[in-house]
Amino acid sequence: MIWLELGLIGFVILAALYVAFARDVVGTIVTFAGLTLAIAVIWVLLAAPDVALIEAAVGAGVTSVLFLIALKRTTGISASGDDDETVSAAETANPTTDGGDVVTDSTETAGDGSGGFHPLNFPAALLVAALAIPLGYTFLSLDPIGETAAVATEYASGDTTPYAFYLENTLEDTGFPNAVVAVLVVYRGLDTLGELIVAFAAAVSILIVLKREDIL
Amino acid sequence: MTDDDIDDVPSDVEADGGQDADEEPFADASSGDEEIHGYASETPDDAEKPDLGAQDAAEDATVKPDLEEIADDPPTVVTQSPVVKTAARMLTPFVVVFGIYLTLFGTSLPGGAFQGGVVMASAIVLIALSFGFEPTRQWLDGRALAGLFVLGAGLFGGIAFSGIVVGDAMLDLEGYPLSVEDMVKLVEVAIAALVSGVIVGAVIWLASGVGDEPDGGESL
Repeated sequence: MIWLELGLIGFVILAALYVAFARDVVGTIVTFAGLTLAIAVIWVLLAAPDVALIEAAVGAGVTSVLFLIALKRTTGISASGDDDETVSAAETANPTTDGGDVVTDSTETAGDGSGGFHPLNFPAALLVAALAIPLGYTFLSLDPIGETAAVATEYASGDTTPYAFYLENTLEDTGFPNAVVAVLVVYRGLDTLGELIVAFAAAVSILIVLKREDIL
Repeated sequence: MTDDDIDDVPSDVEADGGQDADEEPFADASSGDEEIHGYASETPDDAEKPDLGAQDAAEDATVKPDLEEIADDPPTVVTQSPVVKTAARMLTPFVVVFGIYLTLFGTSLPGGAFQGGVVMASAIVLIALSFGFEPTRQWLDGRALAGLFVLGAGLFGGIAFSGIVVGDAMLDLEGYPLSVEDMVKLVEVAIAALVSGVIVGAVIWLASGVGDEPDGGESL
């Protein structure tokens, strides 16, 4: 089982490096979807199936589709790889070969034939490393996975951390056992209402920006 | 699987192996046909040509396309694979049922309203990816889609503010004739309706015009 987890973590790191450095935008989007799916499996292994479901559906499904739509609407590269009539001047000057040639201009050229990688940006890499160190230190202070007995003893000793409170009181307060849904709707319902107002406003804003009055 | 089993391709199109430039690809889409299949899979002009050399391709790119030719061009269908279309048509009911299951059983099992709503929305996104975005936008009723998230927001807001009257405070679920679990399930249905409507609307409305000209105002 430890090999499955190590393989997943290695795949996530490699896929993240490819997403960060590759020039091929369509390949980057597909790789990002695969990375998100691997993270969803990691959530299942960490005993968080609710998060895994939303990660797989939103992260791997809808987000990739939106990325492909944005790519199609901006550069005219479709998901199937064939270009539209609008071919950029750089691609017309040197037609597509099987990778290898570095594109001279700094504009992003998507799609096939634009192989190679971006150069490493050292200040950004230093910033990311500086952010990773406190995150890793925080990870070391987390509790072990699935230690419900430890939570119960902690709650009994009077040291009421929030998750211990929710895990202990969900069943008698609401009558159902899923503490995640209880936190979302019962204990923290106002936050969920605010979230949904944000989503509603986003949909209305899309309609306003696209000027589709014929829908409503 | 023979060619006769594929009902997505009209017989005259597969007979000559090419496309009729005069044929309206969405002729039966405007006839109020409720079924999603029946859109002709038109291949773009570039796919018809044999593999040219690089010089010819560069010449083709520099030649300005004829305007009348563009006007007669059918809108590009995202995919033309009958395998993808058949798989999407078979999978969609199961995906929707799984989304409803996640929504209603989220109180006692892994799942919940957000998960169920997104899974239901991803069924429609799967249809849009398989059959093209513009046909899907014509097939869906935009008013029903907008009504979904208006209904979800109204239901959750109504439950939230009626808690002031029925119970002690806002979002108090204990004063209703239903149990707390059933009220939570009602709230979950509202959340799922809003989330699925928002996600389907975002994908379909943002993508409509992929492959042909968007009909909503000027291009961005």
